[in-house]
Amino acid sequence: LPEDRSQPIHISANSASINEKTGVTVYSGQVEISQGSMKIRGDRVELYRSADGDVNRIVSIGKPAEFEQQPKASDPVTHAYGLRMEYKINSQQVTISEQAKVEQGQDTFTGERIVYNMDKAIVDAYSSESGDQRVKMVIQPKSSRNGLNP
Amino acid sequence: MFSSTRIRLLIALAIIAPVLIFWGFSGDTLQQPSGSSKENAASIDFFMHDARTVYWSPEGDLAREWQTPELKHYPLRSRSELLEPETSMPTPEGGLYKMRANEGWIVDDQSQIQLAGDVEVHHNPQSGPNGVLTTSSLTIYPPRNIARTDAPAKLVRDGEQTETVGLEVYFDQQRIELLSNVQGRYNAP
Repeated sequence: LPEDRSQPIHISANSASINEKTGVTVYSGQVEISQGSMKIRGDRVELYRSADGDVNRIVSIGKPAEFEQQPKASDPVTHAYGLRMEYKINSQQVTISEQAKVEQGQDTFTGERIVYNMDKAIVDAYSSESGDQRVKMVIQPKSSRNGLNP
Repeated sequence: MFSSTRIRLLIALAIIAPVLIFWGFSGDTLQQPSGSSKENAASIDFFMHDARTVYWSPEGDLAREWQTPELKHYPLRSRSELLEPETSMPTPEGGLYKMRANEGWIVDDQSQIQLAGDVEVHHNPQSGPNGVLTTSSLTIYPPRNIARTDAPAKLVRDGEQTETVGLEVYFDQQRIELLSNVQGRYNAP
């Protein structure tokens, strides 16, 4: 939701390692992060800070890592999956890589890398450089979305 | 002429007097039964008030400093008990760890220091916000410069809060391992 970004970030995990020198905290084991309606899950989550100590970047690694958020109250929840996710808090952008997949309502996007803009709920999908992982989109026709048969 | 209370008092004195007189002349306290000369483990051989103890590293740097209003040494337990101990430990980068607790024990060989009761560890790093760790007990291992607890603990820093059950602090590396049930709360930037 639009107000998500001003909400506190809550994290739960089996264990964690705080490095006060580098400012990096690594959470391990059934990690779940929530900020308003946004949730990130993973096996291992790295939390990075800016120079002034604010949390500014979160990297989640899992099999797969998961992301979900409701862009607006009237929108369906967006789900994203991938072996690696990077959430940049200031730019409100999630980059999903390695077997990336995004589901927005009934529409599905897959690719080597997907960049999801949370403010605008925009999905940018990219294929792999080698070309073996192409971008695929499945966009349901409006009529079937409303449950009518063509 | 004499009230009954006074009579009873006189009778009591009459009974006790011979024992006191014998004990006084003999000059010895009641002999300990032979064969049980073992000293009581709770006995103290020295104590200090308002004690301040400073430890230096082999290189001559200040390693840590202890202050306590009362220190009692128990020879048979090979350790000292500290009331409301406070310690400060500088970090290689110029930061400082300060700790306090309701009570503490220091083993004579300095291998272990146990803190118990409202334990607080304040970390004032060279740069960045201060942090405070609170728990009910903490064991410090000076030779390895680490500390550890299995008890629930809470870390608060700059409005952020993290709770855990069990942790290990690696002072030299300024690293904290949170062992289980980790719950964190961070402010949005």
